[in-house]
Amino acid sequence: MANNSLSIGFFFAFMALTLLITYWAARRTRTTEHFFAAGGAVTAWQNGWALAGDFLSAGALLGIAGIVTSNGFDGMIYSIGWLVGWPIILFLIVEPLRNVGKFTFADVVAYRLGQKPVRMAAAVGTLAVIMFYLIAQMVATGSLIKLLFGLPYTWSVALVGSVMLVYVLFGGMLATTWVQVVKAALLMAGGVVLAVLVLTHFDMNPLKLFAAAADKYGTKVLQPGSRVVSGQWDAISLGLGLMFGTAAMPHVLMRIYTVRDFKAARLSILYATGVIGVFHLMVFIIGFGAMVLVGPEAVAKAGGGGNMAAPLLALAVGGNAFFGFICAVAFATMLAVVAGLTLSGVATLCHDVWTNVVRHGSAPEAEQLKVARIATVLISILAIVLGIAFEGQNVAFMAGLAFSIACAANFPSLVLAITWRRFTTPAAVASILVGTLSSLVLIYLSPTIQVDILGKPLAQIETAWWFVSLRNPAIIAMPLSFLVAIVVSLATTEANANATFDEMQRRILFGRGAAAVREQ
Amino acid sequence: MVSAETYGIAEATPPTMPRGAALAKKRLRIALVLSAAMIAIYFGFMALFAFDKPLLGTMLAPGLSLCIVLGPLVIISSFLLCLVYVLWANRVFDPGIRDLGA
Repeated sequence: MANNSLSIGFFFAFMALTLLITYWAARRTRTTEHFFAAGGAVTAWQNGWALAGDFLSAGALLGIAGIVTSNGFDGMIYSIGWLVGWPIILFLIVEPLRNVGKFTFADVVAYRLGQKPVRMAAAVGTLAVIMFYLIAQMVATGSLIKLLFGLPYTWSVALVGSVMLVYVLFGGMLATTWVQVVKAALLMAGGVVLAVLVLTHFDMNPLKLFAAAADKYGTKVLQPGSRVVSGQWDAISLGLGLMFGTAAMPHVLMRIYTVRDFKAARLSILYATGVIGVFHLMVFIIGFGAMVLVGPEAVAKAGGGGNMAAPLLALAVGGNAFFGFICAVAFATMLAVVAGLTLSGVATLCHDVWTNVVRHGSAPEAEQLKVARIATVLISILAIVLGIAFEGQNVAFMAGLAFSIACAANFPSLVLAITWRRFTTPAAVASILVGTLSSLVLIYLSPTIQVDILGKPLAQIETAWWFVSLRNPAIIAMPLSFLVAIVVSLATTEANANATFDEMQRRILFGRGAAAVREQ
Repeated sequence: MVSAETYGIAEATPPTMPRGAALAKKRLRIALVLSAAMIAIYFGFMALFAFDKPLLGTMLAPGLSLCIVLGPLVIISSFLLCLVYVLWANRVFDPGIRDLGA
């Protein structure tokens, strides 16, 4: 791009600001409570924006806008799916999680059950979600930065990985939270300005924009099609994965611990739902704006599989400076999302695996922090190496797979641990492992891997006995995981889990009693 | 603002469990009803998307199809359901907890 010096300028301003925040946060990060939960000192309003920042990836702006530009309405299927999981978090998960857990969702699942087996299984599920999502993000980041700034792929991945390492390693949750807040505000500002600039061409009336799109490309762009989501049950399966996967995403759930109480946690989910909802409505306008004002052909020609729709639209309606700003916002977005993912992976490795499994539930603060920092370095290096290794590969399916695993592995055990007295340790372990494995096996046997990745002709494998026609595994994997959990629970008895159920319910209601008494 | 920690007084003087249980039951019922509403709205929409594309593609006006009305409505209803729950929790649930803990 000719004018990338301007976007690089914006980008360095963002880097300077966030590194200053990290320096400030580093001096306040002294305990694991700070490192993983920002000391519980984040306000509901800040956390709402941070949740939105954590959740809205570059895919939400560039990806969905691109899909809308080339396919019309169908892009909105993703926007809606990514939003409807938030009410589920609010209604079913936020209070138990906040009152029973400390840093991870495994705290809640393991509360009544055998700590070690449940936490190890939860770590498998969580790390699978995080690694697939992280690879998808890193590869997208590398190719997008190459496209937007002209920086070589390997350097882009290494740069993003290193900056994310600095945020998490030194600033922990406090720095990560503020990076998310700044990023979400920039993303929202960019999205709103872009949408408003589009609408100025259409008398501020979205219907005139849609009508113009229909005049140019036919009313089919305003109607549901089958290019983006093919297959009837596949659409339902995708919906399941997006809704319940969102409700069990580890990096989202972890944010619930950063506010002072469950009242603030509830409010922050409400704010996040509002911010994300408004943003998705803007993206819909942006996608149609790019369709009418830039044209799907020009977007396709720019490369990046449609991802250039929003930046090119910014160039068309706002000029060079705005183009630079949107590119920089996209970069900031990628950086912030990978930082949030890394931190939740670190929490699982340090808090679940090290402190609660290796060290039987108690380890000195200094040791936990050291382990957390080693884990941060490990995950960052792994993310960079995998990001580089998968260059040029089709990894878009990995983001969807991450949601499917979260939906099938994490959600059933979390809900049953909270609500069902009979739930047992073997059931939790079996449910999490079956959810993870069945998602992996089903996607391997589906056209997603067999046709798109391995390049086998569909006609040849369609008749094979093992062939799975669904591209999204959730509709099979999630009920299977629930079924396994229920059958194994009924087949086993666990006196202790049964006996502590009332205590857990009371704790869900009244919060961390013991801790408060100690403080008094 | 009363924090969850403040409720911890409950640990020293355990609240009468029947009243606590009643409140917990009420919360669960409202949570389940609202979840069911969200699931019905979303999967109702997705079922139309999956099984009746022509209906969802009905043109209501130039530039306006049924799906362009319903899609944003699903987004708005997500927010409104959250708002209902938060308002209920702030007005009924939190004071109820406070009374039990005191």
